[in-house]
Amino acid sequence: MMYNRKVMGIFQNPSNVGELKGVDCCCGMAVNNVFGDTVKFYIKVQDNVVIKAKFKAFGNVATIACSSIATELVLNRTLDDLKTFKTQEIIKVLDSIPESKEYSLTLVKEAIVDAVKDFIKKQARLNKQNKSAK
Amino acid sequence: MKKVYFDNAATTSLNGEVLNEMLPYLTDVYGNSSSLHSFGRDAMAGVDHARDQIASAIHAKPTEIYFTSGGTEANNWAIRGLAYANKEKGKHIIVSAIEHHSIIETCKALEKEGFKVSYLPVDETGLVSVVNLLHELRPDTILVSVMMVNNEVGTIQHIKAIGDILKDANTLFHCDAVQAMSVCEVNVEDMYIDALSMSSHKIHGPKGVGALYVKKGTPIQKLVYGGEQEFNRRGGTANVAGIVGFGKAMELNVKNLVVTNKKLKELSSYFIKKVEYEIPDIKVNGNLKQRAYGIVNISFNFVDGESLLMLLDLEGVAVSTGSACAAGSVEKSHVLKAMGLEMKDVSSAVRFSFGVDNTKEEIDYAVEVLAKAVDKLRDITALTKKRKVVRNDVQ
Repeated sequence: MMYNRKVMGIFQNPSNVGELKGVDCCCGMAVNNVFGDTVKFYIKVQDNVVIKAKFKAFGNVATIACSSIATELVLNRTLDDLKTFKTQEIIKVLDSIPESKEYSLTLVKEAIVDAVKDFIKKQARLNKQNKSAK
Repeated sequence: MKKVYFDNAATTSLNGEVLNEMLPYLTDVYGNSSSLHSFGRDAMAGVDHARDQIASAIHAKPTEIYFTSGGTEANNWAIRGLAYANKEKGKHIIVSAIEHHSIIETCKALEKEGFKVSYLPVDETGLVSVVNLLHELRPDTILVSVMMVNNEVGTIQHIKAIGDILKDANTLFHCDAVQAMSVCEVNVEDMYIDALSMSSHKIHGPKGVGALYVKKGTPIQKLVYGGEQEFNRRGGTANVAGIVGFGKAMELNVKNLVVTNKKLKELSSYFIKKVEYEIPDIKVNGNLKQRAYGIVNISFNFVDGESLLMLLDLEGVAVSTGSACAAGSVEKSHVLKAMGLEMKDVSSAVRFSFGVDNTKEEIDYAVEVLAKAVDKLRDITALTKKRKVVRNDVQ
């Protein structure tokens, strides 16, 4: 099992590590029950478009590298578009990851989709609150 | 970049004296040890001498030692060979749940052939309960296999107590001593062992050679066919240079056993103290009283073991997340799981294994690198955040 240079480079210096908080932000989370890898994926949304993304991850090299890449891939994309985010998009950037670590791709994708769902729910809740306040 | 090797449980460096002993057999003495002419006889003399050295180290007879390609073959042969040769008496086998993959996987294969296998649980320190073993014994139990020293956490089993019970129960006892030779004084007679697996490269010998001790009169089926080598029990041209090196390594190992253990105890105690002082939220796995001093297994909370290993490697420090034979496998450590560790602790475990060549200066460097790597990964972690502790001076 070998990670390529690109994966190792990103693993050593991942981008966008951290959390996002605020009414226009939300967090999606995914856990792999077999290996325990966990990804928290944060997005900041404006006019239905992701303008910022950050992550926190507990897991192997691939989980960290894939999460980092994903924070860049989701930028300037609509929530509808991200509902169908594909793992191939990450592979395209990283070239390859070891077969035994391919579950990391799915994990990151699930965290992104969960973040989108979370944001939609949060907005619906806020809209409802606003209406009842009026 | 500084290079530090803390993976001596995976393999050890080749001892210079061992290499010198091997060199003639890699150059001038190139005969096939099975040949009748002088070239062959010269090679066989080297093999015979090594057989004497191995036998003497474990208090066995030279004719009870069979050279193999390593510990894995010895384990495969012991389980399969003893099971097949004794299947008329019964088809039940007992092994501990923390055995090496070469035992576990062979047992899984035998289960498909109709054998029944019981996997003995261990306690939270990795110890097999002798009482549990007694409960598992059945009239059709033909074989029990328990390793002397666990390769992931270093726990040493009560081998003599187990052997004593099995002698009374008239059940064959195989012991995987691959990781134990550099740690324990092994006496097959005193420990009531019927078959014992050994490996050369764990004791500063060459790779690709090991041995299986089989007590005289114990029925065992051949595993490797194709020649009458090894008293007609294991076919194949002898790896003469490897065997000669193994013999010398074993001789030196026995001679240096006390000094080696003293040094490893000192190094690992220093390491544990230093890590406990430098890094909060850690857990040392295994049995701290009854252990191979060279092996230290630690779970670093909130940090994935593989990621930590890779960061250490980038700084020249070589460690492992478990058995080298399982590296890259999809499964997490079956040993730590059997010890009842939570998944987060299994995922965050790293094995540091020391050798006689290691120094306190190397430990200082490695712990400095380790603390930085753990901090870095804890900054990224999606799990509950670390907490800072006040640091005290290491004594």
